[in-house]
Amino acid sequence: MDIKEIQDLIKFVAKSGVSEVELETKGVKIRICTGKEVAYVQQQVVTPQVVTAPQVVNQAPVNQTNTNPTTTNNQPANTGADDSKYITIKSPMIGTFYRRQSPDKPLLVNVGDEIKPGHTLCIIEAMKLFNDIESEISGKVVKVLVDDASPVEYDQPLFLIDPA
Amino acid sequence: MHVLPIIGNNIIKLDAVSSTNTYATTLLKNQKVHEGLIIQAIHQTEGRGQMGTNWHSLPGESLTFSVILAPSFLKADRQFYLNMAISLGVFEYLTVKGIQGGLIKWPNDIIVQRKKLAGILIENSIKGKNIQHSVIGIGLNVNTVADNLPAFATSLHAETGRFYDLDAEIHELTQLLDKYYMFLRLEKLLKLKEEYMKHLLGHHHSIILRKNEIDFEATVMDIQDSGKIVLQKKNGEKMIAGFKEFEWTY
Repeated sequence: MDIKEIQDLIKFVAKSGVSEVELETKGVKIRICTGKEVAYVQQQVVTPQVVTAPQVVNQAPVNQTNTNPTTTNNQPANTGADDSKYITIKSPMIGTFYRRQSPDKPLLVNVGDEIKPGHTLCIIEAMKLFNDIESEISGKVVKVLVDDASPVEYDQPLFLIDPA
Repeated sequence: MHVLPIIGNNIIKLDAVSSTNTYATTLLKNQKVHEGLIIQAIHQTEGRGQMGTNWHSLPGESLTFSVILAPSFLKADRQFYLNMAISLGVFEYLTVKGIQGGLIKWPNDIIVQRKKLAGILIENSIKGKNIQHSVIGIGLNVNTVADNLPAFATSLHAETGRFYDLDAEIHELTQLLDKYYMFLRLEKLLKLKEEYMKHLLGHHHSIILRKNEIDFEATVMDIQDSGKIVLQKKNGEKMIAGFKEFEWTY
């Protein structure tokens, strides 16, 4: 083991965040302490151990990446005022807004649903003429802005879509 | 100007189908369909009226069919003109059959002496501001004898005493639908409205309507672009109403 290898090993250990590594190979025994006060990881010598060490250390970052997405996920919901990135689907006519094909059928879309062009979002009944309102875009339904079976005006916002 | 007919060049005849409108809608989803295609049911088992209501008929007695149109030139907020065109086509068919006293009951029932002879159910698919497809379901009582009709309905036979060949009748009727659809394609909207108003129940005579359990006398003054009806009550009050915002009293 030359100086270069030892330097690399020190760098590696420092980066990994482990506080102490002890390595014994071909008569050379190295013990690297990073100076952090952390509980000992009991090492059983041999090179592969060094390889496994980062995995143990990774535990912490893994946990962090687990928590981070939840906070970032919360952000769009919390900053509800920032609707600028959403697309508003508006009513193309005066009529009555229905969220179902007929009273006994399930809702056509729910908040959180992924939609694609051609997906029927709602029915607008206009003087006994029934209109399937189809999406022109792909995305996710963020908000339904009108209650089922209520009257809508021309250009009235119906849905907020987070475009894909 | 000679324009080729669109409606009725092709026809799919089905022995039994739950609803020709549903069949047509499914067809549109699964394949390319030529505009003007007719789906005719010899026996329609679950003909649909407006949300929740049904159109009943027996085999060979009625014309039950759907027309597939693609009026992509028509803005969704002008769709009531499509309704006017179809209503006028059915209405003129009755006139050609020699039936007197027929009227259009807003928005699209065809009545004779206050009894329903034909019903229309229009279902559009809308993308953006325009209509992509329109499925127009028509149910018309032809050979049903008076005894088999409910009190509020009538048939061609009940009115004229004759029996009709359904194949010949559907041909005649679709030609008239095509005539009025042509007006729409040529954007003769004023012409359509004039004709529709001319045959509209309540336009020339006052009618008794009901709202919140209270009867009132009114005449139809106008139909707005949206399809809303403008009524003038006997006391001079103006009322603009959508479908189901009042009841007819007969």
